[in-house]
Amino acid sequence: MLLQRLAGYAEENVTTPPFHREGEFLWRLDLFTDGRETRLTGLREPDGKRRGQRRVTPAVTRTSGVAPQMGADDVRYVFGWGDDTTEPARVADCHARFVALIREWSGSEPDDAAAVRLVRFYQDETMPARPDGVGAKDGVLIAVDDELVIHRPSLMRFWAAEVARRKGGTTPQAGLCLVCGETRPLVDSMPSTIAKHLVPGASNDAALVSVNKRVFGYGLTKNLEHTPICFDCANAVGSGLTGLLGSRHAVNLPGQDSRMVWWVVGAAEPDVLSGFATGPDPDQVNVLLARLRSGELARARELAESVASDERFCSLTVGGNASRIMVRDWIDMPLPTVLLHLAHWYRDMLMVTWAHDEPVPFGLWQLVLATGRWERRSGEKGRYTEIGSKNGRRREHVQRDLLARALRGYPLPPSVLHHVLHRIASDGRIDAPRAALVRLALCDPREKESRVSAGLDENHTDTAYLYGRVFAHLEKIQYKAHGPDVNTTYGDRFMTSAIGNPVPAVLAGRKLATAWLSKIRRNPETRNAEWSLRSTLDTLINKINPADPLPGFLPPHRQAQFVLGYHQQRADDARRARDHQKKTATESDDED
Amino acid sequence: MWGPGALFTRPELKVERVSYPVMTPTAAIGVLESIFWKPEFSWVPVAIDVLAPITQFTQRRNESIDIVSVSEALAGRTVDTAEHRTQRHSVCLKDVCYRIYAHVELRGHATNPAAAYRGQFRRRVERGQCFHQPYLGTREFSAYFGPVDERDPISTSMDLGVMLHGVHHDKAGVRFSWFDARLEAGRMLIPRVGKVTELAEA
Repeated sequence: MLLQRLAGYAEENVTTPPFHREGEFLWRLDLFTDGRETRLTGLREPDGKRRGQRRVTPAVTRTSGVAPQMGADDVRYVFGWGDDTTEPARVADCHARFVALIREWSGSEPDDAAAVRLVRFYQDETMPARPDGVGAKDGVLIAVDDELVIHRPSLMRFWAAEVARRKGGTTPQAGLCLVCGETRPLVDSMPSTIAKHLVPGASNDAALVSVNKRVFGYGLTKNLEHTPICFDCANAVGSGLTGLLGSRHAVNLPGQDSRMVWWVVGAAEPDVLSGFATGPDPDQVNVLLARLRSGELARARELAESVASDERFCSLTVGGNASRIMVRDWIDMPLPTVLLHLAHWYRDMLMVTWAHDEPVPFGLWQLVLATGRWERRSGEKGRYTEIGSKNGRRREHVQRDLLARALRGYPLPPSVLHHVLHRIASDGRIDAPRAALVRLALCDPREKESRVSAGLDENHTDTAYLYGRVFAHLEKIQYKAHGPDVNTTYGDRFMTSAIGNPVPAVLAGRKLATAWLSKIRRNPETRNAEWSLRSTLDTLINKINPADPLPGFLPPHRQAQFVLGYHQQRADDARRARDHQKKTATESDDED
Repeated sequence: MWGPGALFTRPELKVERVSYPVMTPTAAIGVLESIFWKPEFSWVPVAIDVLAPITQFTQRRNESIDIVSVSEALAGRTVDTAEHRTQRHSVCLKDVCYRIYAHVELRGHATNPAAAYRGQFRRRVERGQCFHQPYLGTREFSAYFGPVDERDPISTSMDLGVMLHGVHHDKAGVRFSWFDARLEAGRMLIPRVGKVTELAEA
C-alpha cells in the first residue's frame, strides 16, 4: 500500500505537472519573433552567491546516458559549451540531441510559433557570446517573446509522449498496474528520482523503485518487467514522495541516518501531532492524556482496527543507499492507534524540571539533542553539541528508535538507555530531557500504567533511587554552605563514579557534610536552615533499607533509578524554594 | 504454521525489500508443497488467517550480485562474493503465525480421490514430516508447522493493496495474476482466480 498512499497524497496535494521537477537555473536565453536581438541573461542573485532561480521544468531521470530535457536544460545541452571537466565529444552529442529534440517538437507541433522560432535559432543563427564564469552544468531557461517555452501546452504534450517513449522500454507494453489496479501503459523504469538532499545517506539522486541488477529481478531480469506500474502512478509516486520529503511533515535531524515523513488520510490533522517533533503544546498533551485515562483512546483503537477505519495515519522513514532509497519503516495504521501510542509516549515521557511546577513534555528534537555531548563553557552557560556535529557522539539511529517508541509503541532498545547513561557519566550532566529519556527507557508502553513517576516519588523505596536523592541533597548542603562559586563541587567530583556505584560517593559526602553543616550553622544568615538540612539528610538515609544493599556495580536499570532520584529530588527542591519565595513575598506584601 | 520472522516481498519494493503484512498465496502454496505434493494434484489456497499481531523489524545485510550460470559453474567458476558485495535493507515481519485453508485440486491423470491426498497430508503434518523445511517468504525465515488449532484470528482489518495471486509459466513466458487483497477481521480471502491482463504493446 506504500505506493498507493504516495500516489494518493500526490493526487490531493501536489500540483506539479507530470514528469516535471524543480531545478536551479542560472541563465535565461530570450528569443523574439519581432526582430529584437537574442539575449542571454544571468539569473544569479546580486549578492554574488551561486544562487539562481528555482523552476519546475520538464525532467526525467538521467543516469549515465545522454538524455536531453525539454525546454530547459544545462549549458552543455542548450549551447554545447563544455568546461575543463567535460569531454568535448560528449558535449557535442548532448547539444546535437537537444537540438534534435527541439526539431521533433516543432515537427509534431508545426503551428507553435515558439517551437518554430527555436528551430530557426538553432538552424540559422549564431550562438550568443559566452559570458565569463559559465559552468557546463549551469541551468538555462529558454523564453520566446518573454514567455518560458516550458509553459507551452504543446511542449507539455510532446514531453509526455517523449517520456513514454524513453521510459516504456524497448517494447512498450500495457498491463495491470500494481498501484491503481487499472490496465494502462507500463513503465520500464521509474521516470523520476528523488533529490539526494532529501534522502540522508544517498550519494546521488535516489529511486524508491528500481531493479538495476539481474539478481534482484524475477527470473533474473532487470528493470520493471515484472513490477507493473503505469506512467501516471510512477509519476505520482515520485512527485508525492518529493512533496512529502520537502514538506513541513518531514522530520529530519542533521547527522541522523533517516528522514521521516507523516501524513493523515481521511481526517483532519490532529493538533497534537503537529508539535510532536519540534515542541508539543502541554495543553494538547493534557487533553490527549485525559482521553487515554478515560479509556476513550483504547476503545477508539479497538473499533478502528476491527472495522478498518478510513482515518489512517501514514508514516514513511527512508534512508539512502547510494542511489537507492531504502524503506526503514512504513506505518499505515488507523489514526486512533497512533494517537494511543502517542499518548503512551507522553504518559511515559513527562518529566519535572527545575523551572516548572508541573511535569512538561519534550519534542523529539529536544530528546535527540540531549543524547549528545554536553559542552561546558567557562563564563557561559553550557549547551549540547549541535545535532549533526561529529563530536556530538550521538548514535545515528536514535531518532528512529524514538520514533518507533512514539508512533508504533515499541519499547526503546536497551542501547538508548546505555548510551544516555554513558553520556551522563561522561558529561556529569543530568537535566530534564535526559531524565525523560531515562524514564522512557524504563517504562514499557504496553503496560496500563507508567511504571515510573514523572515527579519525586516519596514512597519509592528502590535503594538506587534513594541514593540518587541523597546525592542531590548532599549537593544542596554544599551549595548552602559555600554558595555557587565552588571550583569543583561535590557533584563534579563524584557524579561519574556515583552512577556506577553510589555507596562510596555517598559515604564520602556524608563525611564532608559534617563540615558543610557546621559552616552553615556558624553563618548567621543560614543558621536556621541547618537543622532542616540535617534532618532531611537523616530521613533520606533512614529510608534506605539495609537489607537491600546495592551490588558493587549497578546494572543499567538501577543506574537509571539513581539518575531519576537525583533529578527529581533537585526538581522538587527547586519547586519548594519557589513556593517558599512566593509565600515570603505574599507575607511581606500583606505586612506592607 | 509459525516462525520467528517472515518476508513476503512486495513486487514494487523487491530490491530494498518491504514485506506485505500478510502471507501471500504463493508463499502458502510453497509451504504446503514443501510438506506434501505429488504431480497428481495442486494446492489451491482459499484463505489465510493471521493468528499473531502484525509487527515489523528491519535488517540490513551483505548480499552478492554475482550470478553464475550452470555452464560457468560446470567450468569451475564460483560466486565471488567479496568482489560483488552489496548491502540491502529489508522490512520483515516478526513472530508470525498463520492458519492456511486450501483445497486439493486433482489433475487429469490423478488415480486417487482428493480425500486420499488430504489424508496423506494430514498424517505427514502430524508426524512433522516435510520434503524440505518450509519457509516464510524467503529461505532465511524457516517455518514450523503443526496440526490446526482453533485459535481466533486477530481482529485487524485493512487493505493490503494489489497482491500476487499466482505465477503462470507457459510457452509465451511468465505471466502473473493479481488480486485486491484485504484483511477482514484477521482473515484474508483468496479468490479462485486472479486478475490476469495479457501484456499488450502500449
